[in-house]
Amino acid sequence: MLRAPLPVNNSRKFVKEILNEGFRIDSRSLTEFRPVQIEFPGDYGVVRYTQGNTKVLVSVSAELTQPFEDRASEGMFMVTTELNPMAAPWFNQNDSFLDRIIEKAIRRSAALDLESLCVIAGKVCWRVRADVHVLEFDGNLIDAICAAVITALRHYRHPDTAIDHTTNDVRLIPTKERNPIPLNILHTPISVTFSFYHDNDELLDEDESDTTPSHICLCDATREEESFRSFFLIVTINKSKEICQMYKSGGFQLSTDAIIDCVEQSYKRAVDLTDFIETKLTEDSNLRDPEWKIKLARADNTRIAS
Amino acid sequence: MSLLVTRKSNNLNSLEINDSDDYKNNAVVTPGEVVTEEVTWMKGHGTFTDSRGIKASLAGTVTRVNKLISVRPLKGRYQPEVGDHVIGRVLEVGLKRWKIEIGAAQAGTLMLGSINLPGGILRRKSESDEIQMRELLKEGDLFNAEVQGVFGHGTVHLHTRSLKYGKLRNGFLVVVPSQLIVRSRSYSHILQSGVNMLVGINGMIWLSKQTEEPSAVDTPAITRLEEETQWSIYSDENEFIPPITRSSIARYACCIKALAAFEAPISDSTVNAAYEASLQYQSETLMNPEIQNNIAIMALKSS
Amino acid sequence: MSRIEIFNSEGFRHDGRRFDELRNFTCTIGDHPNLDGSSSVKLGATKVSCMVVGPYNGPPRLNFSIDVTPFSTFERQARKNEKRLQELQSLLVTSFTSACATAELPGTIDVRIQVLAQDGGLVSACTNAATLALIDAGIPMKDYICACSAGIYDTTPFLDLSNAEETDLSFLTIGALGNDSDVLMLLLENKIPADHLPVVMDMALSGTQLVRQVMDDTVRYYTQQRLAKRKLTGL
Repeated sequence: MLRAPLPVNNSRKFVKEILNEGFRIDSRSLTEFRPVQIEFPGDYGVVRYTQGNTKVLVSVSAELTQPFEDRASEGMFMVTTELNPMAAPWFNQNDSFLDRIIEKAIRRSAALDLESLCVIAGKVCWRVRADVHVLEFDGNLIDAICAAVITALRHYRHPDTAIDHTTNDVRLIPTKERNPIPLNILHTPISVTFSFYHDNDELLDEDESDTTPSHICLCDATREEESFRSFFLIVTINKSKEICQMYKSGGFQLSTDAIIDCVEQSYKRAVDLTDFIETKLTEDSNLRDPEWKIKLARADNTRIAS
Repeated sequence: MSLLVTRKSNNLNSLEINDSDDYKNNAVVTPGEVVTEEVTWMKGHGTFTDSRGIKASLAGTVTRVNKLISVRPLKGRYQPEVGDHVIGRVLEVGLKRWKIEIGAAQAGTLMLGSINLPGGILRRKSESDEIQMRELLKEGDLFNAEVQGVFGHGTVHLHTRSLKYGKLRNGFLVVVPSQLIVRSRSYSHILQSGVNMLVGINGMIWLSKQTEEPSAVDTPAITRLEEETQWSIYSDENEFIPPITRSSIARYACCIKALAAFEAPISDSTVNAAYEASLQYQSETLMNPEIQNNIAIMALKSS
Repeated sequence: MSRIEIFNSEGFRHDGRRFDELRNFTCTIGDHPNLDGSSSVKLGATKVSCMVVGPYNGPPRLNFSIDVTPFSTFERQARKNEKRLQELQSLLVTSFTSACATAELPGTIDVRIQVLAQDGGLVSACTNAATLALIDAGIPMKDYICACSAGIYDTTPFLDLSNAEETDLSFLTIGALGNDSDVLMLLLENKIPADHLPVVMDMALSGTQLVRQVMDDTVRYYTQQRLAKRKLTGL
């Protein structure tokens, strides 16, 4: 079993020193995110999301099933994350922490309206599942997976259903006959992970008169930057400035002002990324829409009134 | 057992211990509490430095020895010190060493070169010794030893290089909190009714049948050591123990447990006093908490 | 389920508290003298008990295991939410590892938390119980990790929510290290408008100080009791 490479003291010191100056190894600023690419290589619900060198492939699928007894008018949604050596040689087991964060970001925050997945209360509902495959890992898996999953959910369409009310039979209508239906997504939660470091290596400096150690905070850490961070703070927020979840544990303490600062930064990111996702989704839906292609090819295009 | 230190206020150079240090000796502190704001003190166990000064990291009492300030917890695992007499149990047989459970934060180590090999003190260990380690001490064996050294990370090295130390037989182990053991010069005590008590500072007490040749002797001449280090010292065979001795051992064990439950100090005098006090009770009732309480109280009164 | 009034016009919550009142918080330490450390915490009707074994021989690490009994909730819970417990366990492991006063933990330490009754504030109760049990076991800690939850109803922040309030309101749990007004541990699992975050965090932090006072008093009391007993026995 391979282990993750241990942080080398020299390179760690070097990276820390340039962090103190406000630079990073890949010449980004502390608050800069790596460029994001979104591709829809296949059917509805399949998204390939790239952020720097971190690549994630999400595939959303749905099937009809019986709802839980205690949740008779709701559908089901589950996310499974596959972490195997394809992403990084030392990955060999699933990270339940990752699963929980994503589940909280999307399921608990009701991004996906579960009630809309109900077909016949108590008998038939949709079970939507998102399968996440990490293709390449270079840090910041949480942000990438969250964004990829919500994009995939917004992209996905499930076949329409015909309900025979007399027999309570549900029939799936093939997509050729009727257009598939998108899921009811109420909001788009975006996660941002902040990595924190002490700005001096000695944790307990005896001469320090300031009780709160000043710290360095950066967004979108690479694998190397992640390997020696003191702790991380995850903020999941949407464009309506609603925080869906927050998680911070361990390391040193943060002041409430610092936390609020991070929330503001993550809101900005959420706005930008949501707009980007929406642009990409529109582009893709245009490509899949046969009408649009015809419209584009028409000779009588709209003339711009001078 | 409290480390009371007399304040040499005239010797301490310009440290206003009477003013800035609001705490008297033996004051109770809790984690995160500032013990003193002067950082020039030497920081002992149970303290750490912060921007606000020296803080306690344990709940306990502040003790000062000259310039060393530390916090003694009231509860905690045994903390080994060099020269301690301990009783240990073998956990693992490793390469030229045994891993020993002594009730501390980390396991102790007994090196193959630190024991008395059968055949005499001058016998060098051979390869066959390394392979036959299990014939000497195997997993689960009890023995008493002395702490040779304490290293970083809490690793403890033991040795049994004396006739006083070695495998334990013919008896019964009683485990009590290590803080209750009173440190004294000798750890092997001959009790009444043919019972021998071996006290380990780590809280393990071995009550055994008194053997004809008392194993607790002073360091003998080398020739005697050679004679006596036969393979028999590593034997697992118990001798015949008459029922009377067995019941005395059991009674002593209950008395020690009674003292421990009362958080009383455990020494040969208190144990004997407890035994005397327990004689009025039937042996079946000795584990009754009320009776144990009475025994402990009477023992402390008379000792 | 009957509709309960979260906040009435007089300013009382459903259990008669004001918006900034903590529930009755009591704790005991050293309940199990055979263990290295033990504690029991009651936060309102939430009851949690914690047992610590260690440090014992092994690599320096902290192992948390939380066992939620099926009878701890109002309705018997046959299904255990394993993932949630695992997340809570890892949250506590990272928090307490950073609160340890020594650079490395003295050995392997097992912390077992048993949840006997739940009425909201589970994360806070578990954290507080673990703090007390670790102190009882003599594990060096920088300070108490005191945790408290706070939520928001409309624009009013609420301190220390009960189960009924937790189902209806958004809330977060903050763990602070001692007297510092800084956040060591933060867990928010519901939606909350970002503008309300500062007031909720401040409310939770003030709650942690109240909690710390009670825990400190308890530890002091027990330590003094034991000292007095030892003096009596001549130890």
